[in-house]
Amino acid sequence: MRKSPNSLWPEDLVMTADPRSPKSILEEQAAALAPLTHNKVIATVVASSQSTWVTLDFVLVAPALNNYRYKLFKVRHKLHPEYPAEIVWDANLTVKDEDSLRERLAKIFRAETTSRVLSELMAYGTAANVEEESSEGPVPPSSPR
Amino acid sequence: MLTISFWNAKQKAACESAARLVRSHEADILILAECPFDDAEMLEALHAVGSHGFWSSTPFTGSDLIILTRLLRGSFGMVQDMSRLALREIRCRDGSRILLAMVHLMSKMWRTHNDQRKAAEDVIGDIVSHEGQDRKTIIVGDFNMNPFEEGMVNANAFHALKSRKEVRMNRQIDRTVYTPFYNPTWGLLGDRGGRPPGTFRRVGGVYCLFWNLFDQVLLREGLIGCFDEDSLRILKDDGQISFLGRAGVNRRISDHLPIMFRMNLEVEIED
Repeated sequence: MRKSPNSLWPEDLVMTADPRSPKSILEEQAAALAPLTHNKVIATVVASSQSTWVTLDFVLVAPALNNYRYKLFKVRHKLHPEYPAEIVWDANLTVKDEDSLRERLAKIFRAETTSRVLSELMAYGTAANVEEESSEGPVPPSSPR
Repeated sequence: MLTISFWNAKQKAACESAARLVRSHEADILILAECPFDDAEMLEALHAVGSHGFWSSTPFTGSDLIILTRLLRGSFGMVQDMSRLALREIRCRDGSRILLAMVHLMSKMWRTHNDQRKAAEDVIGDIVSHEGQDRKTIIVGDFNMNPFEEGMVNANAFHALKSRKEVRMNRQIDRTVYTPFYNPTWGLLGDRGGRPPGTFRRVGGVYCLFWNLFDQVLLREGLIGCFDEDSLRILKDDGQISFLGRAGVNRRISDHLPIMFRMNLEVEIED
């Protein structure tokens, strides 16, 4: 859209989201999960705010389990500046910039607890799919839920 | 009427005791933490004592909670799970929706007082973000804190108060508004009437409470009217086996005692 000749507003007023924000980084990582699990477990980032704080929940979703949701961790930061940010996981961790956020996320994604959660969700999801194919409805292997 | 029971049931023998509790108190929702048996074994035990219609809403992963209910499947929905918190929605006959938050927070064995307070602040944030406009929420579980500790009382943590009157109003501190919970578990402190003086006993150090009340229930103000205050109890036995021993609790069953309470809510039960 062309700027009105009398406008005093700058041309670059509407800025795109900062690609280095915690939200952008989490969304990028959420998008990277689905291809690795063949869409059996996907991830979504749920943002909320209270006062001057923003909370970003990193939630795993298992579509085959009636969209079962498991929150893996959350990141909390001030509206501005966005760093340092706090990761609330098994222990609370503070990250000072984008690089340390990426480093910590990599550790969370490689952690044994994360691996176990993903494996179990994928196993239940696979079982549910098998049950659905045999028209029995989604029932995890160990027990009725 | 909706009857809910919570128990940190640490030993295998607690499985049969939990089944007998459900049977004798006609519990509709049974929540267990830290148990060495799984939901399928618990369902079998319930079936064996003649409690039918129960099904499992246990977290699929990443949690040590077991959640069993005999509410109609459409009346008890999954919301979200995380490592120390499970959220479910109870749909009542009148259409109202209750958020049921079940917790098993970090033990004092592994965390400091400050860690526990910080964890309480994080968990309450997760609960509040899932509350509806009418804020009808029940929190129950093993908080690993006593009702008087900062993590339970602080406005930015559970904000759980002992007075019904005080929870009628929100509190504004600086620019943030905090909505309190009513914590009826305060009323179970002490051994009045011969009841157990807490749910968990530990002895050691100069400052020693002996009995702690870690297992609690919290209610939003909008649910106080539905709460049957006389029903909240620490259970001493399952009708056959005592949960108490010479040194406090009978550790062959569990190191915690179960709690049970009733809400005057109309819910639909499985056939």
